[in-house]
Amino acid sequence: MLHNDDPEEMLKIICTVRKHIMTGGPKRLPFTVPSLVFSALRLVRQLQGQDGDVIGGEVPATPKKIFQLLNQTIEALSTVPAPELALRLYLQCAEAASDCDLEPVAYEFFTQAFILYEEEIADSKAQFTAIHLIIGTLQRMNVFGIENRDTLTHKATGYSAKLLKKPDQCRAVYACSHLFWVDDQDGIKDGERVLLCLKRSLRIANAAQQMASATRGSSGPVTLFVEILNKYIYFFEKGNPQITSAAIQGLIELITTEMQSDSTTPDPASDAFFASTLRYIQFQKQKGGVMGEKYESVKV
Amino acid sequence: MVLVLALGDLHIPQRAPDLPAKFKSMLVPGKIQHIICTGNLCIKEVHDYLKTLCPDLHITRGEYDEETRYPETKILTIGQFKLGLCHGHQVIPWGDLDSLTMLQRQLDVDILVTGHTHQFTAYKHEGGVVINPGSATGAYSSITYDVNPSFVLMDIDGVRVVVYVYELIDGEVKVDKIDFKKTTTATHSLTKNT
Repeated sequence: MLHNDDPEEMLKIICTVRKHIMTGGPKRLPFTVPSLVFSALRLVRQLQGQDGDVIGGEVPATPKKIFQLLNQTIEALSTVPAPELALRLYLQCAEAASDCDLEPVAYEFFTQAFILYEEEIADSKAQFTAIHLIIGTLQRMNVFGIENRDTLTHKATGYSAKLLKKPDQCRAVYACSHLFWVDDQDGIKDGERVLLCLKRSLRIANAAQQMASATRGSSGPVTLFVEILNKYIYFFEKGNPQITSAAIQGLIELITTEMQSDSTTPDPASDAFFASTLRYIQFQKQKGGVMGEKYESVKV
Repeated sequence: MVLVLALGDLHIPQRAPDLPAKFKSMLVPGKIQHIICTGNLCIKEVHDYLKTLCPDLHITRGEYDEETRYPETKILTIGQFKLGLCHGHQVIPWGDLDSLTMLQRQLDVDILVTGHTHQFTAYKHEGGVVINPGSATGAYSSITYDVNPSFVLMDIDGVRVVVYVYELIDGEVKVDKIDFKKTTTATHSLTKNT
């Protein structure tokens, strides 16, 4: 493993290793590039802790410079090709750039990640994982201004709704709800957009049920609805004013009706999930205080 | 007394060459009955090494694992406890306790073990326990700064589980323990013994 306490020396080592690695060819790159990337990211973190720039030498040791190197290095994976790996590495760099407060650099890394998603990742399972990694990383970014953030969240939500399988769409869309609610002090808390995501995922779940009914003769399991109910509960408890106890009550009744319907396939896993969700609500009610009051009008 | 080793996020060889020597010397074959691994090994050699420690090995898929056929989640019963295993990159926001307890309800388990954040946590609530064994190698994480290598050993005895966490801090192995007792199987709740 590459290590040197002096950042300048470390950067020189990284640059030298990089030159050698780049000639490795498609068989070796998937193994060499990630190790180099993480060594570089560790160096970035080390530099974050220092004040001021380290000047001197042919290559100044600044996070910005390192990110430029990283961009070029990850790009080499396109010759393998290894789009899924490259996407993951771009996202790692985006997060590191955000921690260094370099908005344009972070945005560029996200752009690269989205381009790979659009153009290179065709397998539906791979897409499902990739979009979740994008959503998960984006959810944690606090470096973006409103415009940039809006563009990226819009892209993420759009792609989520376009996944092939309806259950996948549903899950990705409700995951996007977290893009609009960050629990930090200065974090975004857009209750309306959260609700929009949840409602959209509900529509998709409904569509999935109808499709199952039409094509297989019986509705699928109610798991998706129970998952969405849990998301409603999550934001309800966080204090999103757009999520009302009436909405939660409505979902509970919807699920109960669906489960009792003849045309629904019984499924012990969703039964157990629903039961533990209701147990949870019951427990919150019994807590009393603020939480108990919130749940007062919800009947389980 | 059933010993369960919980570990994950080793990220060998991309982010770490091997487990810390002090951990390796502690993990001896034949002492542990089950191993549950949150994922991100990432290569077969690590899988094979863990198999030599204990043949009953359970692994869930991390987003960097070479083996793409590991399951996304796994449920197993050990003694009186139902355990759930999942890497955790699928649960957004990452590391968020309330979202993890939702997964716990979904899998209907007493103990949920997840990773991804490389940060050891053990959290007890009325629905059960959520444990994150951290990263066994102290691998780089975009989520956690200054990761100390860590793993968890659970001693399951009837309705009681003692969770030992081993952390490598400044070259020394530090151990901490937390006791959990399952009240009745009907109510699915756990209380903390101090």
